[in-house]
Amino acid sequence: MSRSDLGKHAAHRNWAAQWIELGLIACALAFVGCGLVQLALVEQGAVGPHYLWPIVLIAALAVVGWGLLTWRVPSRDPLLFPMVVLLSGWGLIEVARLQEGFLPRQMWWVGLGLGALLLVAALPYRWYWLSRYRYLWLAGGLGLLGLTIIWGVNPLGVGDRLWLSLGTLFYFQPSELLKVIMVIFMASYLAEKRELLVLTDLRIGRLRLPPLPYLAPLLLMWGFSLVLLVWQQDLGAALLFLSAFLSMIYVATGRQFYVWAGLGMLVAIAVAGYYSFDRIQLRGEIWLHPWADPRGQAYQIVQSLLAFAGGGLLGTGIGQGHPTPYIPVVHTDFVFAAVGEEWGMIGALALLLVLIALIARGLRAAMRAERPFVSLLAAGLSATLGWQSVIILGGTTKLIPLTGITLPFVSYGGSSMLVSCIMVGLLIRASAAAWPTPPEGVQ
Amino acid sequence: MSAGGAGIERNIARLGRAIALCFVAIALGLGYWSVVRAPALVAREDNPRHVEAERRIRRGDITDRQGRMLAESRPAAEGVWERVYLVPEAAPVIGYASIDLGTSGIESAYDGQLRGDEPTSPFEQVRAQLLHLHPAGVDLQLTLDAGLQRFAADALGERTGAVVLLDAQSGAVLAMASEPIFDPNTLEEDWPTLQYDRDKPMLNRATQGLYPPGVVFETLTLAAVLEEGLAEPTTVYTDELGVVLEVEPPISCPGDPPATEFTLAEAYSWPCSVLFARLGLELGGEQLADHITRMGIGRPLDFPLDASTGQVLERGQWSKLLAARTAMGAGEVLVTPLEMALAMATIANDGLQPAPHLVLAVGDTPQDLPSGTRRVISAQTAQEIRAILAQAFAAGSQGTSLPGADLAGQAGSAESGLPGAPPHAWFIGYAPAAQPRYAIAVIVEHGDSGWEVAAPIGVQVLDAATR
Repeated sequence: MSRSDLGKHAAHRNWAAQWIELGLIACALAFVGCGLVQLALVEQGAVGPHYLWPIVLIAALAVVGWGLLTWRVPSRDPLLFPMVVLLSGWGLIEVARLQEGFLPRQMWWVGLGLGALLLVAALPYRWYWLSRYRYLWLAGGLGLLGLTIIWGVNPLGVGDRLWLSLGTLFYFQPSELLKVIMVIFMASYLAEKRELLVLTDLRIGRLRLPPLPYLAPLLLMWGFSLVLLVWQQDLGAALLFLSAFLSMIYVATGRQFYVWAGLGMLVAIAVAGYYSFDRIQLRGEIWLHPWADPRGQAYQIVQSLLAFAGGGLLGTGIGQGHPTPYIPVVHTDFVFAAVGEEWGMIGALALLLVLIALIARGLRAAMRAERPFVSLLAAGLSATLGWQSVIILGGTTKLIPLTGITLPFVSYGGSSMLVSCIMVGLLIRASAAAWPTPPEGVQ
Repeated sequence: MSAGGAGIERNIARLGRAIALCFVAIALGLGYWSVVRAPALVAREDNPRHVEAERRIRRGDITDRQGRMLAESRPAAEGVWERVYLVPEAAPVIGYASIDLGTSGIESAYDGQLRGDEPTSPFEQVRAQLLHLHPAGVDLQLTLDAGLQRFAADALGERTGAVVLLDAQSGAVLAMASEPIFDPNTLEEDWPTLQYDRDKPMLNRATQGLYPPGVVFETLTLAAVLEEGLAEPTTVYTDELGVVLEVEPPISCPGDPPATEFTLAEAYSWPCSVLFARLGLELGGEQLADHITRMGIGRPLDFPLDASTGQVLERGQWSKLLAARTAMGAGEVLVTPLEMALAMATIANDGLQPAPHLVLAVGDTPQDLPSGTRRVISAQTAQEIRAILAQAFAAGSQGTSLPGADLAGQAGSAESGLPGAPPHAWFIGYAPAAQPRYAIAVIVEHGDSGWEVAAPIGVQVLDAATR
């Protein structure tokens, strides 16, 4: 018997699915290749090695990854990996377009990220290790976050100090890693205590309350991370944590009460914050009245909206719009605005579709998983990717106040790329258990 | 049936629907900004894309009459063009084209052609839109002569004033200098100081400056007198007192008259002559005004640059005193240097006034002269005036270091109206003396002596033009 959870599925290698996946990877690579070649032609009139290396890198990683996955995780969902190739390739195009100097570093991070994805998906380990040692993982994650408070730096030299430096070139944002750890922790805890949470009620007379004692450890841990994040004023991450937390509680218990209570709390905190913290008030003002001060505080969001308008339906074409230099930090928080301007509404909608498809496939894996832990884990990871996209995309389109977080895979940013890859790696692994086994006769 | 149970599956499906709903909202928001609100946002004045589009327009080049480059669009960074002015001395004519500050001069008058805004076929428009082609402008050829333009500006030097050199037959502007000047190549940096500079370097004094004409204006009175047949150049006058007593206050010249018996031509060459006040009285204000206006003073011009029109009193505003003083150039009349140069060209061109113009060709299309020439005074009058001017030049340039050039003209001073400030110095003239081809007007603000300050400039420029 195999030592890992993957072993028992290895025999059911469904070649049709493998070839479909390879075809999809080829499509994604063609898209990325065309984008980079087009960009090179627009910017320099010729395709130099500078623009070819990213194509070579991502093609090599994709093909090697496909081989490795086909060997180790044959029964996986064949859509997840091609979508990651497409999104991270699109991210490379955008970094090459918007912040060319960061392209080599982003290539390193794509390499590390896809490597991590493959390791997480294919290494022979057991889910048990993840769920059993949840407090250990959590302590590690919180420890790193704690270190940031003491030794945190900002690679730009100014602004929030949310990063730990590894050498002089690489910076890591522990709050990103904490995201995955929190999901693992909650999946493990909820899988264990789910029955109790659903079946037990705290009754006071006729009033039915949730079983607070069972929720307490969860709330404590979660509250602790939230405090750390708020301490650092990383509002986007705090909002994401809350969304992921509520999603997982809901998936585990099916009780809308938690969702409404959580959202109510969020609104209460937002309103209180609006009146007590200048920074939050400013964000609110910018969101409510951006046109009142288009050259001042609201400059960024106004420029983002002008970029969408400039792109219109079909876009200006890559390299031919003006997201730079007018939108500040366009390569991280506002990458969607750059896509909207240069690829048009059509391109931005395509990006939305790929993201929602990735999330949907993740949720599908969650629905089909056999164990509650895997199911909750996959749901939590998909929800995290989903809410993260919603928070930043909603911010750049002015649907909600802007909080600076990255768009998974597409934004420039090493920690985000690495952690998003790890999350999809776990999803691929989870999908392997879920992928339907072929009929008996085929074996 | 998975081990998670039907409950978890249902909850996950609901979670998925919630996230999908948010994505739909984002897609709608995207459509709102990219399509619904796009026209309004694109049209916003503070949209930096306007500037970016402007910077990608290759404005047409501007050359002088011999094809020498005056203003050129050079490629800066990727697809962006930079306007370079190779003859900054031509700034009063060419003006500037700046993304931040707009346009002026020829750059403004021919902005549409230089930008390439000319309508194209719908097919071309679609093609340009699809291929992101940016319009390329049409080139412009001016009547200016780069060498003479430089020479005229250098001749003015540090002095405040203007020089207008015309081709007397065609009315083509060969040089139009105005000092002080701005450098269109560094306009953006200099703007804060230029804007508030008391010397007004942004003002084209040649077309926009309105000045009292002073003694040189007697040339126009002379034309009116000869046209009306009130006198001949050889008509002899006697005047022992040199005072006009018919008006209050009486008009007199400083110092005694150089002679008590003199001809009209001799009186013209004096720096101050009450004879012209007398002739003004004889003509009467209205008649004088008719002749002045016919010569082009205060007549709106079809000219591409912003040009002021001289000020002449209307009918019914004239008094005896004003008629007398105006005839001497000291009355209620204001002229631009361009108008004076044009009057001079009319005399040089046997009484036919050419239409002044600046543009020889737009692209490959030669520009027809705005309206052609018109008869203003008889050829005989013009010839008589030229003879008198030649005499006056000989008399006036005596004792100065002016080269014995082959030209004619008159210089003089004009009270500036500023108490205590020296008068303006004027020179008008033409060359060559026998077969006039070029006409000029020179003014140096507060230059004091016409013959010592303005005339040398005019003589040098005419000399350079005929050489």
